[in-house]
Amino acid sequence: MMRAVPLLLVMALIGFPLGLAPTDAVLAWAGGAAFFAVVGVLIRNSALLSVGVALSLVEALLAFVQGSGPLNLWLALLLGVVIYILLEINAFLNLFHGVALEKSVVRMKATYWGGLALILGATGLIVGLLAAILARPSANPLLFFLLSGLMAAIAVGAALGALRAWRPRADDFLKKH
Amino acid sequence: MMVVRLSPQVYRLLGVAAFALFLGVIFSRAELALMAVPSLLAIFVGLAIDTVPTYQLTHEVSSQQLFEDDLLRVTTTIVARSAVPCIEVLEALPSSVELVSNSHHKAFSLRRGETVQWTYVLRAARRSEFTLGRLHVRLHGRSGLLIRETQHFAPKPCAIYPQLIPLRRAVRPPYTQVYAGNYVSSALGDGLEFGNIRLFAPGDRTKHINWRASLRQHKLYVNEYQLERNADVILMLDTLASVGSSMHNTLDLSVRAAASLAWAYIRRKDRVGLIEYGGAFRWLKPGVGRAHFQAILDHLLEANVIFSYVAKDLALVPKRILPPRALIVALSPLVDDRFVKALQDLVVRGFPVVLLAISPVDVTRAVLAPSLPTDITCRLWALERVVQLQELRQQGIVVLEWHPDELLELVLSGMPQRRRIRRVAP
Repeated sequence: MMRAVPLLLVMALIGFPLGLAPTDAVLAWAGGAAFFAVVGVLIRNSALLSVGVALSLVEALLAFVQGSGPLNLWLALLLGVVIYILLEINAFLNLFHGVALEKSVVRMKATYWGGLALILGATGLIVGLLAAILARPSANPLLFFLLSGLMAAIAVGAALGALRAWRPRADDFLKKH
Repeated sequence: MMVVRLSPQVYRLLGVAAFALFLGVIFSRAELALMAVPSLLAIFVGLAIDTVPTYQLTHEVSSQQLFEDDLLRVTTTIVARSAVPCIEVLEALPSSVELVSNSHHKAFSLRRGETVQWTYVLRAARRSEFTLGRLHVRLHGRSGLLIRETQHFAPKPCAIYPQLIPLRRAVRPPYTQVYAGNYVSSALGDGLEFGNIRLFAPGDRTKHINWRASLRQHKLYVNEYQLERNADVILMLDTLASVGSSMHNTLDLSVRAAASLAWAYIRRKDRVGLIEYGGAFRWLKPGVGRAHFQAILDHLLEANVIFSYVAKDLALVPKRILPPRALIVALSPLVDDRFVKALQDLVVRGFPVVLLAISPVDVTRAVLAPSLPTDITCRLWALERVVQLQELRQQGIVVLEWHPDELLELVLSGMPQRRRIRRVAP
């Protein structure tokens, strides 16, 4: 039952680029990606799933090239989110396979993934706005600089957060010595 | 000590993101570069919000001394001092116990101050000694990208003693000893069982005068009674070889029978000793009482087959371990001839020997998958054993064959129960 969620995400990951450009080459890559990803999910092998995801990236690249349309940033962002959620859910199911899970753990993870989806959505919005501004030749340069500054602040904040997360390891090292 | 490491998921996300960026740069497609953003952002956010959770963990077991087939309840309590997004707890179980209910591997998510109690039940499958209380704890952050691993060790040494088979009667020892017990001795003295009548002698107590006989014979006669004495019993366990699997074998059956016999004899105030005849020669000097029974159980707990080419001589056993006229109850599957020779040695030295021969044929049948070759081999083996047991009977050893599916008490009742009744002429 729980395996249905990653399988649906695999279908979405492979189906969107195929819908964009249903050519023979895309179909061939989609077939290979689907095989590895589905087998990886079913036999709980993360390495096979990662191979499937890598093949789906090639499939997406082919679809974007052969699609002959304008830049499809929204679809790209959506595929990126699907890839992340697919890898996360599959890793979660593999890690806790055979473990008696309390409902509170599933609730916590669902809340986390929901919150992250909001952050990713907001990021997508910012990236979309930025792309739209860049695409317009008459854009206000001040607005461009403001958005660039905002992006830089987000990046620095994330980096500081990551550093803070590494601090416990240093504490352990000090305690040990 | 807590070990902090990155989850394999971080490397997977980084790998996929790097591949997407690589494709995007090589083919000059912004979409591919954009596909890497969610994974990279998730790594940054995941590492940024990670904190070190604090908690308290306690572990309790319902009993530390069990018998086979008993149930053991293990309770673990976790108190969250701070928010614990995900705590995974595993207690490694020894092979001698089986999980009956719930799981020994569980994951929880706790809010600050929350307490959770987790109980699971184990069944003691076979005799062993082990230590519970080593808990492997893995702490996952909200993102699961950083993993902290540690161990909690609150040792709870547990012992599973062999199952005691209730025995209302055991093999009666032919000779009694000097201490008070439950067997009617042939010697006369103070007791309950009537023994003889004789002429009154100075110093005899008047309450022992047999008035009916005295009136008839016109002389004073007194009753004599038979003494009630205990006996010495030595249990001799064959640890030279065992037949069967780790869960069902002749050694475990022998140990169960030895423990049951020890309890049956100790309950009758007999002195019970133990000799383990195997690669390692171990013994326990005869004794009485519950404390001694506990010592026997502790000794039996460690009984194991240790292979050796060296045949041990029973002359090594001190006299206080093998007291004269003690009943020897030997327990063996009779797979190794060295044990048979030891029994013959005891018979020659004048010890009454009773052999409880545990059938290895039945154990082998139970362990192996049923097939025609297995069936034929077992039948031939059973025929060989019939001849072997007959030879032992001819050598003066009382042989009782125990098929494990039979009740032990039923097998022991096959032994002729001798009762000496001395009739006195009036």
